[in-house]
Amino acid sequence: MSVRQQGSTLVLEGDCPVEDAEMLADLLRDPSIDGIDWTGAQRVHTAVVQLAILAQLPVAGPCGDGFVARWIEPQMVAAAGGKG
Amino acid sequence: MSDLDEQFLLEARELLAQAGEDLLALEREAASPERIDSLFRSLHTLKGSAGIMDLPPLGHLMHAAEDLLGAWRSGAAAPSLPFVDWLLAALDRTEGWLGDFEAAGRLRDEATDEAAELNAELAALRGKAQPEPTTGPPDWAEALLESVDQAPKGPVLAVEYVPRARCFFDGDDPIDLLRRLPGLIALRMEAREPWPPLEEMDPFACNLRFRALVGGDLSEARALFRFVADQVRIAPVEVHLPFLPSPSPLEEIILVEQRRLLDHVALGEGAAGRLVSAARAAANVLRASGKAEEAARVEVAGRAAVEAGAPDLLRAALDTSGAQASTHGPAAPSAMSLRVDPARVDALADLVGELIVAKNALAHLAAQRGKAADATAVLRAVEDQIAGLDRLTSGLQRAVLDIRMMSVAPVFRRFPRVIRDVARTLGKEVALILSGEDTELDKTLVEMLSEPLLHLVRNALDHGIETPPERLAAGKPAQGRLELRAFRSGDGVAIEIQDDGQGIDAEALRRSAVVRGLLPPDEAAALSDEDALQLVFRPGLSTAPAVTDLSGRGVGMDVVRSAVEAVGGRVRLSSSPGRGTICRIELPASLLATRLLVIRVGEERYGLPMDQTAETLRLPQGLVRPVQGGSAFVLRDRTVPLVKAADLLGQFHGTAKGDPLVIVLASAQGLIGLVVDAIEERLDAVVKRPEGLVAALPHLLGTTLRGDGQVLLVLDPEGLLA
Repeated sequence: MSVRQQGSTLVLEGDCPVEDAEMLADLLRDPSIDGIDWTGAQRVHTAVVQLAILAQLPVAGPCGDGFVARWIEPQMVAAAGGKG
Repeated sequence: MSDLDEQFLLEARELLAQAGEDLLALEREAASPERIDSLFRSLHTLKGSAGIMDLPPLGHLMHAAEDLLGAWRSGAAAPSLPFVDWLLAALDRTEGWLGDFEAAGRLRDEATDEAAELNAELAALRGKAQPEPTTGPPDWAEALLESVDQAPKGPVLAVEYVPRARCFFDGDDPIDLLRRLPGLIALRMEAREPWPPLEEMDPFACNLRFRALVGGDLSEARALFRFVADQVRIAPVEVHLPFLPSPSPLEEIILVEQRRLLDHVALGEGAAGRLVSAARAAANVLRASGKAEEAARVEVAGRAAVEAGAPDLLRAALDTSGAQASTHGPAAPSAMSLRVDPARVDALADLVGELIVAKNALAHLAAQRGKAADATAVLRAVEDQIAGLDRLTSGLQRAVLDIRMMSVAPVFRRFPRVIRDVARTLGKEVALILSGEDTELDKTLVEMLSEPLLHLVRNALDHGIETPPERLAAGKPAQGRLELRAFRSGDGVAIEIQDDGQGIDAEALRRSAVVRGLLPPDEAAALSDEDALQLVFRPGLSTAPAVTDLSGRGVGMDVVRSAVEAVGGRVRLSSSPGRGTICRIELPASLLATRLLVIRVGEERYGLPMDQTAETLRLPQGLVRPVQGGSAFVLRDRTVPLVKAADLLGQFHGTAKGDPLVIVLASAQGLIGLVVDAIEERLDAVVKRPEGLVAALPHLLGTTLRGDGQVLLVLDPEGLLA
């Protein structure tokens, strides 16, 4: 399993395939969740990235998936900064 | 092969090299008018030569290429990768034809078909390429471009990818596709529709839109997105540069060439043929530029020149047709073959002049032999002359050596193309940085360098530099760096190949050397990291596939080492894991004079290269220690094995009396003491490579002549001790 809950943080680890999206969506709906840590993720599927964006939660990075860390995470940080 | 053929091959190859360089530069940088002009000139001259040499396929191919370049020059079309690829293919084909011509004096039978095929390809490309520029870049591209810190070089594509909502069910992973897009410059990911509340979001519905700028080529991007072509729009973002029309009259170049050819026409055999060729070529080019009258005049002058056997007649006609070697003729600073600077020939001629003076002076002294009262005075004069001759001969040797010197540029200039092709095949991004191309080396050394460097560069690309995702994951820029440097170092020249790749793991090499039985475990463990790295040059190691996996170095490193050492060079590797590898080749600047130590073994004399002798010493017999199967001695805390030259050379040798005389050799195996009977003299000598029967002797470097005319065998310490 690549998604687990640690306290109030959702931790993404290893490969995060499209199948994880449903479970991630379920977990994100829990109001006690207040952050996502994907530093241990390796290859994150678009569906998972999409949910992470939609959730608008603070993200602990950099994402372990180098491409996501370089190209997508900065936009999320910028968006979150703009909001807050 | 006639002189004209040789001249043609020489020039054609230079032109090809220049054209290849220009093409790669065009691909890297934005379309520079100077590059396009230079390219045009090269191909145009090739076309002209094809006419002169009567090689229609080459003419047709170059004509098509020239057409394409004409469109680039006029701005009707912009250089783009498919066309650059086509031109490179055309150059490769031409290179092949030149090989045919060199071997058989004509092109292969299929050449006509090959040219037609290539021309058809080009026509298809041009036909297809037409509608593309009509779709302008989208508005968002401009804004995204502004967000990029560094202005991109070369052509830029705007890619908009709007995946279908159900794309995840089709097995698509849009980010993964973008991951594979080479040359990504900027990326924006946005919601296609406003985001629904999380509770209502279908996690398997894609609501994303990607907009990207890519510094790559259209066909590659198209190929990548071919399965989602309906969801992707790609448009080139034009990089407009003002185009300066070239003022250089092309016919002048060909005329100047003909004029130059005529300069080499000596009267006699073959002269008439050359005159006819030159006149025909000049007339053709003049006619092609609409100067029919001048063409006719040149033809008449050509016929007159042939009949009268006077090239001057044609030369004069060409001169008035504007064929004087002018300042804006073809630039030739980057010639590829060994072309000698006239100043160097002049220096040589001066020395020969002085030599003749010295000879005359000696003759004068000889004539005075009977008359002179004072024999001592004559003798002193002879001694003076000998001193002068000594100076002159060293000067001559230096001058000849100078003539053999050439820059490493012809070797270096091959690499941009190699790197482009290899990097593309491997899916890597590599920037090549060349420096010190002007560094000069003996011609033989430059020729020798080509293969080893190719090996090293390929290895660096293949095993050193990582793929862009790997590099990004390691916190490095996606684009790798490969530096190729030549510079003077001490008496010689050093060449370094440096990559910023993953480096080599010394520990893995140690393990592998033990596993393969090349080293006992304790010896392997005792090696410093730097020494352990040199293990890649051991034959058993470098060819083992396991090592390639472990250490990241490929095959052929032993070949590199033997090639470099064959010319008296050394090669050494240093590496830091994760940060890259440097391979350094050290070469003597010239091959000609070798400093030799003349030794006597039994009744025979041999030469030993001084650069491999560390020191000589008289070893007190008591210090020789027997070790298993031989003897050794301790030199400054190091145990040095001792071998008898007589044994190695298969000579009968009586029991040595007294303290042995030892020459300490620095070889690839470390220090070794060579026991000889006497050291006679030091000698600067030109060592000739072994020929004939002696060529089979592995321990022989070559032969040279001693002052008394005797042949001296020069030993190769590496071969002797192997």
